[in-house]
Amino acid sequence: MTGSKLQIPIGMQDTLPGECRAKRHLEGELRKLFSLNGYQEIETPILEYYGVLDDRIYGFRPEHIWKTFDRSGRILAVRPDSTIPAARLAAGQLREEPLPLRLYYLQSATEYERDTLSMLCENPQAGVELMGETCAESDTEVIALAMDALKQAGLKDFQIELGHAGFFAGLMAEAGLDENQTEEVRRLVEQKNALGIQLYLNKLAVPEELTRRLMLLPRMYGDAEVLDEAAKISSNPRCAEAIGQLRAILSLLKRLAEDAEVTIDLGLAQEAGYYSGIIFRGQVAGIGQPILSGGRYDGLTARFGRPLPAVGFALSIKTLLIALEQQGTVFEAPRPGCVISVESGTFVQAQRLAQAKRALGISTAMVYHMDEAGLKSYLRKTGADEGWIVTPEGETAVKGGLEDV
Amino acid sequence: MSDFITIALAKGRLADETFGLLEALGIDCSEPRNPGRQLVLYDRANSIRFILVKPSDVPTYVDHGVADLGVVGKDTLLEAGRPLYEVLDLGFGRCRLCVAGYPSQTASIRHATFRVATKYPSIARNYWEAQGKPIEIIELHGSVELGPVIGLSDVILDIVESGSTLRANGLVVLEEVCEVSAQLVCNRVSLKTKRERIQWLIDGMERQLAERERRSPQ
Repeated sequence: MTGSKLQIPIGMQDTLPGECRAKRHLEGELRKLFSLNGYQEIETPILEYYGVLDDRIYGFRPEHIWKTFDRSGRILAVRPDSTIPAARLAAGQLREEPLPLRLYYLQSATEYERDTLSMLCENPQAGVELMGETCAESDTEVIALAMDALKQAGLKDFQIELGHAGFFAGLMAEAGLDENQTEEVRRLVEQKNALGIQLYLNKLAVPEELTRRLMLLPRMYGDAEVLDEAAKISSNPRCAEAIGQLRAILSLLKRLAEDAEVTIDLGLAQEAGYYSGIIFRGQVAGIGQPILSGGRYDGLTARFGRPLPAVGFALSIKTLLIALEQQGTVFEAPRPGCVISVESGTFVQAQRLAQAKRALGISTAMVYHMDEAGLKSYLRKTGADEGWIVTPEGETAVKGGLEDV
Repeated sequence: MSDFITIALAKGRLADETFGLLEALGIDCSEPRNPGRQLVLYDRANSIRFILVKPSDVPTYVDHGVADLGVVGKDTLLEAGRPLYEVLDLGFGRCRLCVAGYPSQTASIRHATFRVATKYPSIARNYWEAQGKPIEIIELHGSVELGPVIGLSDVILDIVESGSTLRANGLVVLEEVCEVSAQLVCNRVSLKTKRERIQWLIDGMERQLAERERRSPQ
């Protein structure tokens, strides 16, 4: 057992001082930004009733959710997402709050194998939810806030990609496919597998002309011109509405931030099952997965008994930190500013010196009964700027600084 | 390196066929064609970088985004189960993924539990799970045909090209799981962040394939 006592469960992670400091700093910046935009912070419990999440629309596979039991044997789920708990709150305890409701959170979402890129199951996220508004302006507000969050974090050259769940849904309605067939096509569209779509739709005897149009979906990405192409492939009212909303949002975003890189991907429709309107994600070159994703989910709160239009996003703190590091940000472990060695009988005297340093904003730590050579070595190893030895006779300064490598 | 397009390939026939397509687009594949012991090879003039990896690792490199594009058999892709864009069916490396065993055992597939020897445990699990049949998977890394021959397993799930290895060991195809051919796969983010150049490559390769088809229709 000696070796395995040092192990933590697969998929879990410790956060060491260097990463923890960077993470807290980033969280602080995001907290400031979200509050300035009128959002209020919430926390939700780590455990929810599994039954609340056991609905196909949420897109969680039962085997991907961490589960446990309460004392009476009811199945509990480790929170796999924060949007569903936020919707539960909006329909429950926050029912009397005036609309619109603006909520944000900084907490983790835990799921088995959500992400094939790392073994990590517990993913710290920052996210916002805007509930009670339905217009393109509110969609734009949330997307612009997502962009501001990445900018505030110091990320450069990121790209925001817009899609719309209604466009795909409209095409499927036109093809007259049932739920299972739609899911299969959705999977193929997600893979941008045009040939797969063709083979599958031929098998279902979907008219050839419609199949030809559906096969264009995987290529429906790029600049605003994509929307002109998209308008040609369907006259279905849901598709037309989706294109209209995307145009409105795109034009608002361009006017808000001229240099913003915003692209369209109509094959993006439907990462999480509860999205009902616009879908978006943020990504940067060199990181193989999106840093943030979000969208409109008008049907979600109704499942808790209070229909509210809503839009939001969640950003992965870990992925953002990796992206920042890749772009050259150096995250240093925190180091003490000052170290004071306390000899016998000098604790009170040393504490007074420490308090004077701390009053100047210098992080000051005590060590006990360390001689000058020991303190020098300690200062070098920890990279502290200054050191003091406190004896009954007085205080002696010892020069600090990082170890020469 | 972020202005390079990185292509992950497995040495062998799929790579050679891919070089043929790329060369027709004016890309210099002389370095990766004769790699020696190098694992990273370049066409610097066109800012293209090749990495030579194991076939089953191609999806991994592309998923992580350290390679933007990759060429890999559909069988390997299904087994890996990674969320990649399958942007083009390259058509070569064609074969079938099949369940094979002794002819007399055809009926045993319908029996309760039986053992499957395979290099594709994940495909095998999904395939029989979809049919609601419990199986025991015996994962092997080569000469899977030995399974039924020496009594390790009831059947095998493996790719079949000509079927001559099966015949030589007295085995027959019992069920066909799916068709397999080489796929051009792309990282989900790269397709957007390096859109123009990657789309140019995809379109170019697609044109080359159509051209070949036209010249020698099968």
